[in-house]
Amino acid sequence: MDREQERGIEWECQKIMRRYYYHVDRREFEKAADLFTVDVDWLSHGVKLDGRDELVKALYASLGDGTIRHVLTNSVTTVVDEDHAICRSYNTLYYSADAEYEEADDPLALEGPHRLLDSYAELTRMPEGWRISKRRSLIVFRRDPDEPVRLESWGKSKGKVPGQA
Amino acid sequence: MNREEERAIEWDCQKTMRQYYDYVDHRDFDSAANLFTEDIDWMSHGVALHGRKELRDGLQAALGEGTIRHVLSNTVVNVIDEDNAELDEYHTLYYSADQEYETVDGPIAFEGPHRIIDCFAALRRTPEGWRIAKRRAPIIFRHDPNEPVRLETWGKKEGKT
Amino acid sequence: MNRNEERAIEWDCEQLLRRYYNFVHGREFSKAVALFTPDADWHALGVDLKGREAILEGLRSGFAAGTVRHTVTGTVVTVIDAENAESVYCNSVYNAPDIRIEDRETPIAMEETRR
Repeated sequence: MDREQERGIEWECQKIMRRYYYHVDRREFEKAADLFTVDVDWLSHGVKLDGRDELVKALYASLGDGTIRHVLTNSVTTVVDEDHAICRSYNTLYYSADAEYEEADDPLALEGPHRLLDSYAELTRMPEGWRISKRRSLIVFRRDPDEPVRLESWGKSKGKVPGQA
Repeated sequence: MNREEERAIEWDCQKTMRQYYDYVDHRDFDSAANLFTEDIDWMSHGVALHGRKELRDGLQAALGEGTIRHVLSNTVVNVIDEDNAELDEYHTLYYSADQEYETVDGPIAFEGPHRIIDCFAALRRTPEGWRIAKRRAPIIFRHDPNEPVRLETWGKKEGKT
Repeated sequence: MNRNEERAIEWDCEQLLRRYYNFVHGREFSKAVALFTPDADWHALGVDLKGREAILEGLRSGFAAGTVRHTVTGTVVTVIDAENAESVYCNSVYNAPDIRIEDRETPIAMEETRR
């Protein structure tokens, strides 16, 4: 594979990641989930999900209320081969648990970033395009570390937190 | 040079910068320093460093402890010729001087961005790929303007300011 | 149009957006405005502007006196055809409307900004 082909893959993978967060932030959860493989292996905020169907349920539960913006930066894509790539990024999250931007008369009050995550994704080329097959994230910085967000509470209630008692 | 060739250079230069911060933030200072030319001319936080070895020493002193994330955005690359390019970007820094993310139990508490920095870089094509030959990074916004960070303290002590 | 051609357009559009903000931040408002079509239709922060002259005036009144940084992220460009594209992106803005960084010896404190 030459560098030009690699660049093409890097661009496509980065675009998939950006599209994912675009859909998630606008509550288009089915469209967001469609950017994953059917059997996606997903772990974030300590919550383990397997497959697209679980991911859709989790997205509705965690982000159906409130407002979030995932500010995606620093994407570095490493091409493994023609059909596989790895993408590392940062996510800076701006979050309001209680207010929906679509309903608010004015912008939501901003206290600053809520969380900053290292993000890792493996992508696979499928007939429909590149799709995310594995996702891991690590929360590096967090406002209010003692206040769980909805994803964490939901994950716990559904037994999706590996190692929970 | 046609626009397609320019785009390829822009993309590769942007990737070099992103890779640099990925290495720095995860304490891989050797790999980070290797993304610079041997004769790198580097200035940030009032500290001037020359050459990869000085840069490596500076990175270790500044970021060997604590936790930092350089959130990179707004990258614009201007291609000068086949072997030279200039790059402007911003980074928003999130920083804890006292906690290491690898060993702390849970995420590190934070209040928001620590600094916002304009960055200029000149890059040069080398046999190893695009490398950073010059870097300037003035701080525009800063939390706690009266509290120096380790880089500044080290730079002063080593006579690098 | 093939995917290579689309990618080239996506890249060029993303670079265009970034250049716009860089010019705004450097207070090079004429260069910023030159990146718009003459009949540009601009709406932001409840303000509607039409055409380059109006945008130029808006930028000067909004940003000439202070220091601002728009961090542009998450850009997704959708190519419509060889000559038209749409983009969406996210801006995190740090703004000190009454402080010019050039007039300071030290950085502007975060507490002095509006975000």
